[in-house]
Amino acid sequence: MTSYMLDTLSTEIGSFAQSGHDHLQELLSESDSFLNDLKSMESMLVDQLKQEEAESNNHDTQNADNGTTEISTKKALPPNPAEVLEKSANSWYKSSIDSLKSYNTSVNKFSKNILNNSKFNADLDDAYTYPLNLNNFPVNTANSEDEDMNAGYNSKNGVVTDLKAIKLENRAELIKAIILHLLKIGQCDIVKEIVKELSPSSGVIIDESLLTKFERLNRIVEDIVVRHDLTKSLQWFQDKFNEKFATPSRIQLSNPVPSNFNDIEFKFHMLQFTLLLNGENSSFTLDDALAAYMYSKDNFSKFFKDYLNEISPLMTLLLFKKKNRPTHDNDDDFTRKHMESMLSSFIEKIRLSFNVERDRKKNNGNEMRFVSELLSNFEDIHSDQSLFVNISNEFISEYCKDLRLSNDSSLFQSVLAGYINLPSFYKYNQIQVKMNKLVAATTDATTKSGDEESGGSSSDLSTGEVTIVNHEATYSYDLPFQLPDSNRFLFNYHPIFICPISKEQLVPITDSADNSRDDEPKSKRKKSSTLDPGNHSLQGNPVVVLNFCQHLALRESAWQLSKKGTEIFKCHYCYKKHKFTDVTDAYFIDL
Amino acid sequence: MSEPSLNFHIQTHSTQFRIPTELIKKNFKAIQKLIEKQKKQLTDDIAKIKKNSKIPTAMKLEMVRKLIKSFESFQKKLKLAVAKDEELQSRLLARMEHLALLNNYCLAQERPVSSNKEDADEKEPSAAKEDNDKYLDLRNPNLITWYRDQTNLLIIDYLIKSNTRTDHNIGILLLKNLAESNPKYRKLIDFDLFESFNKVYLSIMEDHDLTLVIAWFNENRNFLKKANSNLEFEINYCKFLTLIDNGDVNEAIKFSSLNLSSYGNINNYKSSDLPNYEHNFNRLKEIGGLLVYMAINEKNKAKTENIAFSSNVLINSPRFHEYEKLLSNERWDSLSQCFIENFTKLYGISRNYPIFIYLSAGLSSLKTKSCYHNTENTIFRDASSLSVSGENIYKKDLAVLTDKKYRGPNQYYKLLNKINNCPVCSPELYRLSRNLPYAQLITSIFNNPFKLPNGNIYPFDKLLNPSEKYLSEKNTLLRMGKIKDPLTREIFLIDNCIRVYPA
Repeated sequence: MTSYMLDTLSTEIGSFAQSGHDHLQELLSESDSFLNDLKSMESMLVDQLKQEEAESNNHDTQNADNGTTEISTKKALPPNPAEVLEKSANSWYKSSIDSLKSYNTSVNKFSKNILNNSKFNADLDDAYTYPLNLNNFPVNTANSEDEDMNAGYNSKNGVVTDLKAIKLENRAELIKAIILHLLKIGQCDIVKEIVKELSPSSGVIIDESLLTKFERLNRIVEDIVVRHDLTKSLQWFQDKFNEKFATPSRIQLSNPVPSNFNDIEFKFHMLQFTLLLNGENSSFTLDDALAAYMYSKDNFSKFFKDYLNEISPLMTLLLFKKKNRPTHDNDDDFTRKHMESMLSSFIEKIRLSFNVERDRKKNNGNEMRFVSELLSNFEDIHSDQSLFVNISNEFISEYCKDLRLSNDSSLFQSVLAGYINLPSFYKYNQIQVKMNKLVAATTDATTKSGDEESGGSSSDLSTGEVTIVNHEATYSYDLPFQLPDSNRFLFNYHPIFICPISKEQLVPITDSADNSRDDEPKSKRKKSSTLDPGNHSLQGNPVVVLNFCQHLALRESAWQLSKKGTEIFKCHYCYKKHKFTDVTDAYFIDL
Repeated sequence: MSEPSLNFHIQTHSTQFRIPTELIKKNFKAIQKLIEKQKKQLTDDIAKIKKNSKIPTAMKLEMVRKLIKSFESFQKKLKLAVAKDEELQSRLLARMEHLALLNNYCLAQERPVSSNKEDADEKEPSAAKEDNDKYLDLRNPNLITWYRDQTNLLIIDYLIKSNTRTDHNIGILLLKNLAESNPKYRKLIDFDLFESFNKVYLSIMEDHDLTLVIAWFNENRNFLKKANSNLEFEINYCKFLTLIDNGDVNEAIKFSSLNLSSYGNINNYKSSDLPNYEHNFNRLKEIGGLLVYMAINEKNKAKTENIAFSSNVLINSPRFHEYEKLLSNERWDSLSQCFIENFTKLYGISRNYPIFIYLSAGLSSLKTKSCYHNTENTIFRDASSLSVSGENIYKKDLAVLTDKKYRGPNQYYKLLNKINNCPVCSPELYRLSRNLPYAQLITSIFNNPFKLPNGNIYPFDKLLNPSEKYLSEKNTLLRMGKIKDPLTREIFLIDNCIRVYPA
């Protein structure tokens, strides 16, 4: 159930914190008690002074008679307070130092057991095998931009200054990515401050209309997460619905995928229903039930077709509650408790049978899980903060889709992938370090590229191919290790085809420079349909379908298999025979 | 190769525990000093009272009252220090609890099969297995939310540390904003330490001011000595060059004989510190020549026209330029780098911003050869390319679009009105990942790839899914056994289309 390291960590921190608290409180109470000593000494002296004054008044009267015995009478007074103080000061000091010593022991123990324990440490820098072209210290963009301009004009030792410029440029890109991230998580206010980080000379404009839309998103999300209020989000769904009707089928022609809010909108309606049913302060009243009922009547009908199974258990709650909330005054404690336990066991039963249903049917899985979460937290829905956070994230993704932006923050997605895959990078580096030690033992000092400038030209020594040109990776620059596939489902963005023969990854036609090729004569296209796969320019190395078995490969592989089109070859999977003319180009197009 | 596990997360978050502990230690020493100082004061004062036992009570009272006052002010300081310790301890606890959340997001112990139940109470307390590690359940939405918080913290960390503004630090502002809805953030990041880290750095680089870094050096003298830090030399060297730069040559010579000369002596270095010796010694050797340079340069400024030939030669010699460089901003760079190195070492902070490390790993694990520079997915528009919108290519040209170039993802996403969710394709991150390697992937194609006679392969279900409106063009075609290629808008008989097999 628990993990050894986590347990150790938590007990160590627990005892460390406890010891800190105890010993420092001791310090305080010791100093308090010493202060009390001082104060009592003060009041003693005050008393003494009063007494003396009284006495001296007496003396005054007496003095008139018998001259100079004053000093001797004073000597008779109580012992010197200094000694008392000294003693108490010493004890204060001693016990304070003792407390400090014990605390020091726990600090050392914690350091030894956790901080200096190699088991609890992994140096993040060790996982930074592929450095980004970014400065790892603050660089004032305004200043260095000027320098860079100069450097760009008068020096031709391109590489270094170029890298400097790239790093600055990349900093701006990262800031932009951060801005987008913040917009998507609903932090609009701060964005205006951060935009100042971007140099005004870069000619970047922010789409203002989008910015205002993000402000709306900000308000909606805040309502959901902080106030658990869905009104604004539901209103947005309504707006979108109306919009769709206002501009009928404009998209239909060009857009084969109708934007479909059904599933997430469904969740919002279900949640709203539950919220209404719960009422204010989670106290069930008949009014709440009525409100919920009216709501369901207005909003659920369009979902009946697809989600009847999910809606019905929630609706049952409505019925049940009405029956079980009779007038309060007649209830004695026992029956009420009885009712309550019946209610909860009933909800539990619904939930269980619903879960059984859920496992049996796989479609609508996501929505079913949501309804089951609603059911299980039905009675104190407001305490389930993660439910609101998660649904707000889903809303954000829907909202971004509508803005024609990707459905999540790109920065977050990348960092997430980083978190998930970092163990591999770390492990690879550990292995590399060990190997390098071995290598270093045999051959003395091979060129060890400093981590700083290694991005310069080419860095991969194992393959002879050029991997980085002008700080840009070529297609032959692959990660030297395979990542686990178990998390791929989170990051399935592109159809990926790996040729079963050459193991090469398909590179689709993505020349970004081909905007200018609009008016190019058709001759090129014709040429591309000839046999020779060698014209890499536009054509590259596309997927081909083997016509007799419908298996796929890359064209170059088929070319090689057919010995440059001269021989008949067998399909790599089913051994059906093909000539090179029996393969046709194909293109993956995701919808 | 290796999957995210609970233990790995604990290991990579060790800095989170190291920093508060270092700060606790520092605070502890401050408390110790405070007590010692107070003790000394007390003994002195009490001794005074003791010695002059004959002074009148009123004076004694006064002295005791003075004692009380001083002790009360001591107590105030002590309370502050204790409160600081508690704050730091609370960070440790909060971080531990935050990590412990992960324990709820782990896969049930018997891991491989994906059909495990989501319910938390299903997890059996089965005896600890093998390496005692647990793998995270990436399907758990709460885990993803955990990572969202983590991402925000990385951003705050980056913004605080890389800040270049002197008026305020945006990272701190962002933290404030985010902490409003989630107060936990304040406990999860050592914002105060990072802010002062940034301030010292900026004071060196922007203001060319040494006071902060000297103060920091004095505060951490012991650690720095142990770590063979070269910071003290860098500071003195900088000071010296600044004196020269200002023309205080006499002052500079005095300063150097007092503070720099000892660095030329090898006996002042530990054996483990030899690289620093060599480095420093070489730099010290340059200093003498610098004075000559100064003299020439002075003259130079005085009368630019008539320079003696000999000095003209000198001015154009490479050595002369070396001196020029010495007096340039280089020294601030080297001092600030030395400071960063020492600071990160002291607190066990990674030398690179953590967000870079995660981004680099993330981007290269997501980078595919199908990624392209997708200018759509941003709110930033290039001022120059605003007018260009290839949006209505269909209107412009009602003919079919059979050109192959439209079949690349950079074209078809736009044409099909499809949104590309790939983060590497987003224009900002595409740029950042330019120099990163491509991930090694396995074939992953949508279900039921279905090829039309023109070579386009679509996911069968989405292609043939009838649209909502009964009378739509698509449905009419379907009833005739035909399908329209959504991209090229050619119409084909469904019978002529075939399923293909990528793997």
